[in-house]
Amino acid sequence: MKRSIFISIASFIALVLIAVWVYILFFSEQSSVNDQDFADLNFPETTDSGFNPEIIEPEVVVDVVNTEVIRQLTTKPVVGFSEGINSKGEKEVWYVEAGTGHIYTINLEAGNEDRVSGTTFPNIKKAVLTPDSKYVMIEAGRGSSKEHVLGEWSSSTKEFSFNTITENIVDFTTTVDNTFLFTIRNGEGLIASQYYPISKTSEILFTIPFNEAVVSWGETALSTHFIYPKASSQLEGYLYESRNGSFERLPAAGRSLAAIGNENRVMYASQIEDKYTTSMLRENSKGKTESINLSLLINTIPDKCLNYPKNDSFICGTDDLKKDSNTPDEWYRGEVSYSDDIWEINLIEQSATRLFEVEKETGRSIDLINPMVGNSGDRLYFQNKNDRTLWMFNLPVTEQGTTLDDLDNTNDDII
Amino acid sequence: MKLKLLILAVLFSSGISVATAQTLSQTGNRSEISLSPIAPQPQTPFKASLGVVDPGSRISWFVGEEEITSNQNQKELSLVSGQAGEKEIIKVRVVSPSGAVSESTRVFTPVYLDIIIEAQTYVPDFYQGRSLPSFGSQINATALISGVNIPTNDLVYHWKIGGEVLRGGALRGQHKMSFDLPLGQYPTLSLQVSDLKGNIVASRFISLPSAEPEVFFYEKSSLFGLKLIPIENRGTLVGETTSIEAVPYNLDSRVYNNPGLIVWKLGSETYTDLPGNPYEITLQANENRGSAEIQFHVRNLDQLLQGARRSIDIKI
Repeated sequence: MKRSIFISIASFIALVLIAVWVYILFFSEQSSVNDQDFADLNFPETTDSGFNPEIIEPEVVVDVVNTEVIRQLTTKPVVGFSEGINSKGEKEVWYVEAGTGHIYTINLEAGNEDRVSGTTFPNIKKAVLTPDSKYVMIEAGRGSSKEHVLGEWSSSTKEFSFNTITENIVDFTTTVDNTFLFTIRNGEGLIASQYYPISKTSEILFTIPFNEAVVSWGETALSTHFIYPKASSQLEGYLYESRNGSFERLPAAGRSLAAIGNENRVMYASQIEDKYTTSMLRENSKGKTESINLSLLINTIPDKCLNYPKNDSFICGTDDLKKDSNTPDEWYRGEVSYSDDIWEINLIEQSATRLFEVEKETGRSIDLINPMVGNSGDRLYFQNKNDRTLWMFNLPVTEQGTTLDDLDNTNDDII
Repeated sequence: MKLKLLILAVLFSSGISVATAQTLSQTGNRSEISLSPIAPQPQTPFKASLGVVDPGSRISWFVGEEEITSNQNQKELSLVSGQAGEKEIIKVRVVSPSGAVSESTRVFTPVYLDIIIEAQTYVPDFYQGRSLPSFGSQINATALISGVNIPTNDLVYHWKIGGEVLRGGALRGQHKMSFDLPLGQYPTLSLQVSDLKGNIVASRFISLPSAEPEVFFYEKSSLFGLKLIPIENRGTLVGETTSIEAVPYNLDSRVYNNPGLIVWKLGSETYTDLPGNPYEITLQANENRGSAEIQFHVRNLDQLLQGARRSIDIKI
């Protein structure tokens, strides 16, 4: 090769390399290269008190435009939730994320999701927010490391401050008037109390003379609360009520017993002749409490129901599967999962209305747990036990349902 | 004078006794009312019955003031008891063929006697139900009596398990009792409650289930804790590493906290003395993903019935 040709080729290559270098130096998209090199690990937040929620970019995660009556609000599991109204008067949902204990809000009108607390609570099990979303009670840890924490929202700093509760809390809930109700152990049994988060004081409501108790709490501390031993398909349960500090036996007992009630009615499930059966208690014309078998109308697990004062009814998740003598043990263990529809049960009219056929309409199988009606009474919130995600359902205007009279079996069902 | 009066009184009273005995002897009627069960619970069926009655006697039953004409001339009366704490009066009048009249009244108050069983056996935190007793496990029983205005401390409790009297007999105010579940499919726990005069206030017996401890496997996330659906109901596990917790339902809590034997087996490999939580194992997937048999065994070596073993196939 001639020397001049070699020099020309070398100069050309050098020019090309210089051009490439200049292009990379001034025109390449450096950030995208970085993105590939450093993955976003999305670490959970720490207890850094300097956390500023304002710097988080709002991200639309909920489709608020569509008019579906049922919507999945989260894709991640949650341990507690409530409905609130923000300073602009817009409805929003507050929820506590499982695993981290971080608290988020979803604006139900704009669809924004914001994190409002980045304090981490490892092994968080349960969280309860007051209806005004100003306070949250959290249970975290397991066994001897279990602890309860009370969080208070500051509207000025826009963050929660948390304090550990020293009492050995067994169970807790909130009331419609923004206090907490809880039980603690006292050796012989449980003590139920009310906690006022504003004054940070508590008062005893009633005592339960055994330990393995479920309290189906009323709306306020002064409401009627229903108490029964934890349900078991092989152990007898008994129903008690507490009004104004009393502890009275109600005429309902049996294996698998569980109940929910309000000031006027009680709906309960128990085994009758080895069949899991839903019944109700009511006062008859002689002023005596009587039990009525509702199995032809509905067969539901009371844990899947909530009191719906607006219509003086109960809203429940239930499916058409027959429930056998192993109910609810198998469901508690997770061996059995239900594909629930949403029902409204009116014990005054003894009617049941299927409000929504969930799997038929959405294609999703939902095992409904922790139902809650929003403050305005027009939305039902609940979780799917299968993945603990949060869902919302727009409650319709009440329709006339199927009644026991329609079924022409009233006489047979009165026991 | 006093002595004469005393003698007269003794003679008079003994005369009455004799006369009564003669009347019963003449008619053959034993018109005391017995109840079955002895102390009916509220709003439950029970039977009132008479003892020996002369053939041909006319029998009339009354509940309160109302005569139950449908049961005329019958020795038994089937009823449903009233509400808790409401006194019930059952009366029977027997007129023998000779015309002798005898009456008997039975007054009782239906009361609830609830026995709440709390077995000291293990169930996980998320399980909302009550744990079941298993052989040898401790049971705490609590008796709650409703419908009677006697303080608990003025009642006498007589507990028995499978025929064995607990704590040596009747115990005043002892409405709570602890005992170990004896051998047997459904041992019977019975309780009789009486007042300080010995009158039976309520009695009850219940059959106790004796569950076999049973193991279920749950996937465990370091962030979210246990998943609520057992692995066998969930199909394939995803992820390079998977932690699994074996949950021995209804295992005696003492054994759960201090197991004599605890063994994991994965395929043909056996693992004992795992570091950390012995009920938890972490599996690491290699390039050969597929099925594997996983087995867990926990047992009290001093009481071999207190234990559980289970194996399942898992897909990773």
